[in-house]
Amino acid sequence: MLPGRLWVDTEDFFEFFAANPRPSGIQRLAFEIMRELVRQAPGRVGFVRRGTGGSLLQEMPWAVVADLFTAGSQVQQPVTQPAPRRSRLRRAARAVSIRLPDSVRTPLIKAAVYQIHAAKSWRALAHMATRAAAIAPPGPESSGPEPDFAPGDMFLVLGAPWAVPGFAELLTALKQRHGVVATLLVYDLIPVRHPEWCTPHAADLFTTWLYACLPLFDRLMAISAHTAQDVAAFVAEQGWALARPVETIPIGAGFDAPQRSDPPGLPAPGQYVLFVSTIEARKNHAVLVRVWRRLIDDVRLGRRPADSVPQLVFAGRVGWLVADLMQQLDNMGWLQGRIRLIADPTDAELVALYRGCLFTIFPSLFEGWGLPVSESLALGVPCLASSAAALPEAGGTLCRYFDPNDAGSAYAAVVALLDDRPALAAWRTAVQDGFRPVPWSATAQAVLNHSVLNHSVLNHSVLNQAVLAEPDRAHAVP
Amino acid sequence: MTVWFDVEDLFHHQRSGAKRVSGIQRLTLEIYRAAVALEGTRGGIGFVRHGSGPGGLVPVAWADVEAGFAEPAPSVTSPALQAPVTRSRLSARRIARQAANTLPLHIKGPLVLGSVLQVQAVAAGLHSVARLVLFPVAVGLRWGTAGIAHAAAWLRQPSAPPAPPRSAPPPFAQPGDTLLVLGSPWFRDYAPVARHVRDIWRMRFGVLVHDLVPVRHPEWCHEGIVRTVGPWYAAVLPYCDLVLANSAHTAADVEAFAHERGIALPGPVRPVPVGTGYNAPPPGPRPQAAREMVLFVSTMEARKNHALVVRVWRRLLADVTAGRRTADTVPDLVFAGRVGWLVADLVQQLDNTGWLGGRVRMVENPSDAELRTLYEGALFTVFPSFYEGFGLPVSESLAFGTPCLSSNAAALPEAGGTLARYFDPDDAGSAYRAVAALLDDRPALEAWRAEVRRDFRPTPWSDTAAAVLAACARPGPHGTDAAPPGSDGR
Repeated sequence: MLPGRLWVDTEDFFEFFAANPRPSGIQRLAFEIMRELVRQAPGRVGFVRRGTGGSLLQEMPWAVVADLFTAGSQVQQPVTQPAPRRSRLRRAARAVSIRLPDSVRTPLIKAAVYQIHAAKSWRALAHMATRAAAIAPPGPESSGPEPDFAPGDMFLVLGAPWAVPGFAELLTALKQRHGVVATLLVYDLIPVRHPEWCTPHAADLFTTWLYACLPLFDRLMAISAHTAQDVAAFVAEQGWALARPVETIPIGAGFDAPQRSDPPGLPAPGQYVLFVSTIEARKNHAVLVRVWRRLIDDVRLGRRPADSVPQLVFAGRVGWLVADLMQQLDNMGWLQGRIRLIADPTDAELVALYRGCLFTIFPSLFEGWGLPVSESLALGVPCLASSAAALPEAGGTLCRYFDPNDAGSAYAAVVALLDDRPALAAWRTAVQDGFRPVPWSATAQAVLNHSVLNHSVLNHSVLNQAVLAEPDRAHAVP
Repeated sequence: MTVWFDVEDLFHHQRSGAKRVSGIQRLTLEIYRAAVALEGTRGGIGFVRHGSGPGGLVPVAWADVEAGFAEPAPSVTSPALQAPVTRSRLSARRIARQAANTLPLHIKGPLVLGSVLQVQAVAAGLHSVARLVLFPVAVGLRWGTAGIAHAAAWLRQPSAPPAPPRSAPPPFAQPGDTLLVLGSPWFRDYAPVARHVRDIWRMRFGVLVHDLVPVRHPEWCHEGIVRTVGPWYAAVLPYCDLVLANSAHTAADVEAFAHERGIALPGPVRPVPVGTGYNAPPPGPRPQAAREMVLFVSTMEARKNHALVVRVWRRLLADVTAGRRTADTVPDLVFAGRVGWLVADLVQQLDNTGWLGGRVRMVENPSDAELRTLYEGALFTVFPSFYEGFGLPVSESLAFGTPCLSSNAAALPEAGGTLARYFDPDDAGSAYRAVAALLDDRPALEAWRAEVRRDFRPTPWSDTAAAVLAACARPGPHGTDAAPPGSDGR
């Protein structure tokens, strides 16, 4: 048995799934790594979340953690109930309402509509409260055992814990009391570098967390060389110093594809281009709307047959800073229905969407890695991706690229694919034959290797302790 | 032959609470003023508003029109450059927002939405109750006063006057006169008016189309405008004896639209030359600006593509951070206009970045004097719009002697001619390179400025008015025999 155990922090996953039905990129990636860690080093890996009643942390069985994720990625969308028959009460209300003068009826109807929508919000809140109660840490009586930390054990943070209160205090206490080595996997520094793409709340949380916690970690890992550079540059800007370089770990491709199934209600295979992503400003859905708008204009002007323009399918949940874009899409009638939004797809639906698309497209303005790109290639589907940030690392040579800041170049790239179907088919074959997916076991192996390197360095932060004397920095956000 | 202009939209716009006339209203005002100056004394033009009765138009004196829209006298000193008006928020709102921000997002969303909807529900409920109580009172009052008025009228004159026959000539105009709609009376179902004017009053009817954005690009408009404007033109164009446009681009677009809808136009759509700017005196010496700045004059709305210049400035400032460029080579970016529609997310993005660390500034609702100071003080102007029927800020910039880097979309090359320079509004990279090239070669920028100052020939609004009146004088079934703009077509 290798010396030192790995304690993986899972608190933020519990909190994430209390609020969100489906995992997003970080949760998905962290889960794959955790699962592989359990497979490769079963006796060495434990999972922890916040303890209760004086204990810092409590151990969570892997089964409980795994349940959290597997339940999250299989949640089916609630099937909408058929509208109930108009009740007698409703008919009576209607009979009264049509006899009212317009000046009374209009505000009355308005009041009713607002009240119905308000009630929906209250119901959603109540639902969240019950859900949060179900996922809350167990009380002291049922609290799991405090892990028996040994000096040299590793506290591994793979998730997104910036909303977890008191994280810096936890790290400090763990290091002082137990001498553990704290390791962080960094996905990106977007909220600090590009607050324009985040909700202000998220940017604040992350920034505060980063300034307070980053100096406390002993080791840093990054999901791409691009992120590693970003972290190194950020640390240098703060006047901090890294005791050891940020380690880039290889990222696995794809996910456990469920058995081939045929979920109902998806676009007909072979007739659409797919964009898998949360709909948020950074993902640059706007550029694709511009491109498809141009394709439809070509049809209107007789420059292109209507059947040569496939549908554009957005698969993901509607996120932040895209309300105006959604309104624009509503205004333009979703380009006569040619743009479709498949909200909150399940894993089975995602796989079916990937398998049925002509190709995938990923115009994001910035990514720390780009899971949908490697996922697409892993499923044998060609991907036309933005050339920004770490995306060329995720897509490699089999992916093709365009400038996400230039709708013209995106349009040209899409048109080239649509107008040369044999070439598209050849590319698909090349992807299917040539793509060598990085197994998630390699990712986990890299994490394990990194955790035993230079094991003797204890209680010695990667960053100069001097910075800790400057708590004000936490707020001096550039 | 008199040309009557429908000016109701000016008043409508004013009633709707707009602080300043802008866009279409401002352009039509300039044309009316110039037309009055050209024709005023000869009675060749008149103005109408909307009233009741057949045809639904009533004459209005020019003095009454002008009185409502006189520009306030420009202030002597303009604070626009030294102390820009930055966006300020109600502090109560800010506090509420900050309080809300401390909540987790998944709770904040439904909580805020629920609260807003609940307030609206209660407000609407109270409103309906008030109306329910007031309704009998209102009905009583209306019937009461109507009854009294009716009785008084009956007492004054023993019998009602005979209703005018439907074919009567208009009380104010002559058969053969022209009714022109230069503005945007989209709030009125206009086809019956046009039909009455043309077929009952035997007048001619014409419209000036500024753009068909709500038809071609509903994504950039208010929903209400989208639902209104397309059907309005589809209903009104068939009645036109004369269709004018503000650019060759718009003219072609209107012809394509008519073709698509199966509407037979009276002849080719005729572009009229658009006057230059609103308030541009000949360029004078440049004022010394406190900080260097690049200016973008426009309402902030999705179509104007503010997002692109924000990205360009983001990149310029990233160059500074990365040491590729010194901070003093990046001027401030100043938006002059009001915050319009479909840009809430962009404003939020700017808020998130602290308006790029204060390097992007917003001068809200600038006065004419402030605009002049801004134009004259700007290094150059940018205008990255995705679509314009013409592009007044481009020609206005040139009239102030300020170089303009403009989008090459739609009619903008017509507005900017050979003196403006162009980039692809879909390509932030090309815009970045164009801006950086200007910033990094100041002698070339100054040479361009000198060229603009030397060579730009503003189009007087009298040319526009003359072209409009000339088109009315000889509408012709095929329109090709219209007098060239500026010639004496009266």
